[in-house]
Amino acid sequence: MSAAFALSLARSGKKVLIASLDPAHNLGDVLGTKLYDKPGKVETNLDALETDLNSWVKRYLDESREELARTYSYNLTLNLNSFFDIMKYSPGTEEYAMLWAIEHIRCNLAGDYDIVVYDTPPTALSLRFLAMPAISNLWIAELTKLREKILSKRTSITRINPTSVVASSCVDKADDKIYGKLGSIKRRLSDLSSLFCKESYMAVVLNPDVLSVSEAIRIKEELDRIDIPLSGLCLNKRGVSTTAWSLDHSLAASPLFEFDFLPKGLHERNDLASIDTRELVADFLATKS
Amino acid sequence: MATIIALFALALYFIFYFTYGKTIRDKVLKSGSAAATPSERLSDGVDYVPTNKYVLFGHHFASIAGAGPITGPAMAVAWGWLPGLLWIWFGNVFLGAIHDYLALAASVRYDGRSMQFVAQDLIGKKAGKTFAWFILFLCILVVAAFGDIVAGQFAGDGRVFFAFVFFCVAAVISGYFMYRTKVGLGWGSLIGLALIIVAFIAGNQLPIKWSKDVYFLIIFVYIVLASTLPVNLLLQPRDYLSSFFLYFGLIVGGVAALISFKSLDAIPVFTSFSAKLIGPAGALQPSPFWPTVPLIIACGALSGFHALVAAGTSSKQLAKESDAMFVGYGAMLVEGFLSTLVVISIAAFGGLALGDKLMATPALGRFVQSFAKMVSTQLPFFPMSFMTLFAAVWVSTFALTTLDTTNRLGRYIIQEMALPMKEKNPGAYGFFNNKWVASLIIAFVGLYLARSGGYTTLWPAFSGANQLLASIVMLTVAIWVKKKLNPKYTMAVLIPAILLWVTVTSALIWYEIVIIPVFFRDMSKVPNVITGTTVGLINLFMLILNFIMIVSFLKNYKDTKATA
Amino acid sequence: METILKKLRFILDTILQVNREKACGILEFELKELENIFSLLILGGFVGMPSPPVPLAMELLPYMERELTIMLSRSDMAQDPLASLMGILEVD
Repeated sequence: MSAAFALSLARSGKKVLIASLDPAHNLGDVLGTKLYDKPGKVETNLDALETDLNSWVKRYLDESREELARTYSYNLTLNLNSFFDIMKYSPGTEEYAMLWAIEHIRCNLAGDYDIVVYDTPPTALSLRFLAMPAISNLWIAELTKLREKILSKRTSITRINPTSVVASSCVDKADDKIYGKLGSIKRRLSDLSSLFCKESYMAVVLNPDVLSVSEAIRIKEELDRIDIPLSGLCLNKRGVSTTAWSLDHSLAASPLFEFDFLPKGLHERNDLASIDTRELVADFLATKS
Repeated sequence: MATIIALFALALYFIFYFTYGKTIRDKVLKSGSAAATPSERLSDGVDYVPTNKYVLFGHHFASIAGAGPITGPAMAVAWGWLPGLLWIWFGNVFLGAIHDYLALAASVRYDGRSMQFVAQDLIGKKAGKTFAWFILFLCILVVAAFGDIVAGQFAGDGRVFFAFVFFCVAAVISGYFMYRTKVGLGWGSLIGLALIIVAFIAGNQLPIKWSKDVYFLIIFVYIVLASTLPVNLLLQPRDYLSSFFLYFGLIVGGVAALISFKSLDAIPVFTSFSAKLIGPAGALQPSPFWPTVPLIIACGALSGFHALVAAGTSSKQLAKESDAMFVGYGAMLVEGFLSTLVVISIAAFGGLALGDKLMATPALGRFVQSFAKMVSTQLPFFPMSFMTLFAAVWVSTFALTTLDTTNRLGRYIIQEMALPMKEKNPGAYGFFNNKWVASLIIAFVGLYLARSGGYTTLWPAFSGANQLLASIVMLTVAIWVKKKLNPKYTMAVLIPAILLWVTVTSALIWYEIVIIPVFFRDMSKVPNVITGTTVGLINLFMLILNFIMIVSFLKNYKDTKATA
Repeated sequence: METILKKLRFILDTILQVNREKACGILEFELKELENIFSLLILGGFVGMPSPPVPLAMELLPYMERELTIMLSRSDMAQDPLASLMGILEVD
């Protein structure tokens, strides 16, 4: 779906980058080109890339390990080193790696293109990383408040008792590395949050069956919860079966774009052009401006 | 005479410090060749921080000094002024100060671990559990004892209550300046002191006449609220300002006693071996000096609390083991001197202050009036009306501080002890785990007992629990000397420990069979019956734990191998 | 004469230091607990507590030397807090 959309936009003259966030990575197959972690040209005006989640996770862990080696006393580093290898598998890391990958694309690559299209991973992972900034922000806010409290108490104790053990760690807010780090994390997250909520066109693809509709409803509820507007619904494979189904009224608020089922399937890039995305593109460009 | 007694006390303490104390340090502990203290070895910039011994002394002394060393001796003069003094002197140098000193040293050798841990290691797991229960009972009993004393104080002198309230306000304000603004400690303290003077003047101008019951209610509300406030608001600044009361009181009291040359004629040297001291108000029972003296004089001579305090923060900050003599032994001796001053002031100046009504006045009132008389006659710069207000506020502040901090502590203990109930009885667990419930239980039970029992019953109960704790510590330390230090000196610690244990156990048994039944004489007086039952049960439970512990002790003592 | 002055100076300094420590004792205790809580909140992810997300903790970890020391010291104290509480709370 997203490939068809991107292709259509590119062929209409816009410079487009399509990025696959899906670990299953079938974008390359659909576009008929091998894709890498860096943007590769597919055709005029259309570049594509596949994020390598593992390498992002590794990069993230390596950065932290280096900082540790620099800042901590060396004996602490020795103890914590093996920790990081386990960290790879911890539940939170994939979502974060995704976020930083998106951030990288947005900050470093997006400037070269008019539009960036993201082919998102399956619902579960997508919802998790979309929600990340909102969830983390609350935590960061509370941790920041606690940190301020700690810093101010250190200051008042040191003012009264300069020989207190607390004195050596008494710093201004501006000099406190932790406070600074919390602030920079907050900034990154709120940038991403605003990207998701205000600067994006979020389209959900669903199939004409009851299960798919239920999933779409759930997705809408989640998006509402994190204040991300659902900009469009793409009904894919219309006519693939004759089973009755209907669109729930809660989804009625978003514009619906319908695409017929292609019995011959998609074998090469030009087959994508047979999916008529003109209405979708028009709506997108309208909201963009 | 007063001067001579004061000088004698000073001399006695000095001599014992430099002879007995030194013997312990050099022969028993061998501190000169001891390993480095945990504050050096485990120094972490958090708790294990080597501290200058004078600063640590000040810290430790301030932690152990409270309203205790004043209340007990003020009550004990009913036996005459000499018996109480003998216990304050010799009980202190042979028991109390040694108890503090060795507890501190043992904790240091155990890497700053608590007395509970040490007792558990040397006597057995039962000793450790006993501690927790004793402390819980101590929390309730101390609320009861001090609650009655303070309520009586407020009801007796109408100026004290508002002076105290304004003092709290002064603390909050100066706390704000010291901790929230750039004003700094010096100016903040001056603001605090100025506000204290304002508080005294205000209290003086606003005497009120409320009944004791009203004060009980106010104290109840105060305990529950104050123990929930953030520490920087009231607890810390009030704690800081009240230390000035202590210094001032100790200095002017000491100077006044030393220059007074007054004979101790307000109270006979010795009244009777079984003076009527302990029992419900109006039904005081003849209390034999032995074994009941530890039920009256606790903190001035010996106090189990001190071991807990010593093993809490002081042991982690001791720079050299030889400093323990100054901090542990020395601080307790200074507290003994404070108690000596209390007895002197009452025995010499009580007559001038209260005349015939001296023994009829409640113990603390006795002290306040006599102390004020002593200072105002010897140092005329301080007028009597000011000194009485000062002394009353001094003791009330310390007592009320103890009330709200024990509430905080007791809340934690109740939650800890309710933990085993979690599986078997989740409803009850949820009930006790609620911090308001725990807080209210302690405050309510304590003050209920205070109201119906009176301090003449509850102070001895509190004191008994405190002394039992101290005797467990002494026995622990005796085993420690035997197993880990130098068996040759075991007897030097064990004999006083056993004598103490026998005394305290007998005292508590005496209390159970002589005092508790008095509550049941008139079964129609329900509050009395309830109080008698509650205190009787607490006492009984503690005696049972005590016997279980001594059995554990004897088993472990015979065991020649040290436990792991 | 000089040694007497020196001694007086020493006494005065000691008294002032005792005073300063008295003014902050409880606050310092409270501060240590706050720092402990802060550390636990951040490192909770490492020990299976749901929040905060582990990568956040990782970013902050390099700067948390003092906090980690406190955390270790407090976890020790949590086993046996009664003694320290009695000392700091002025129960007697």
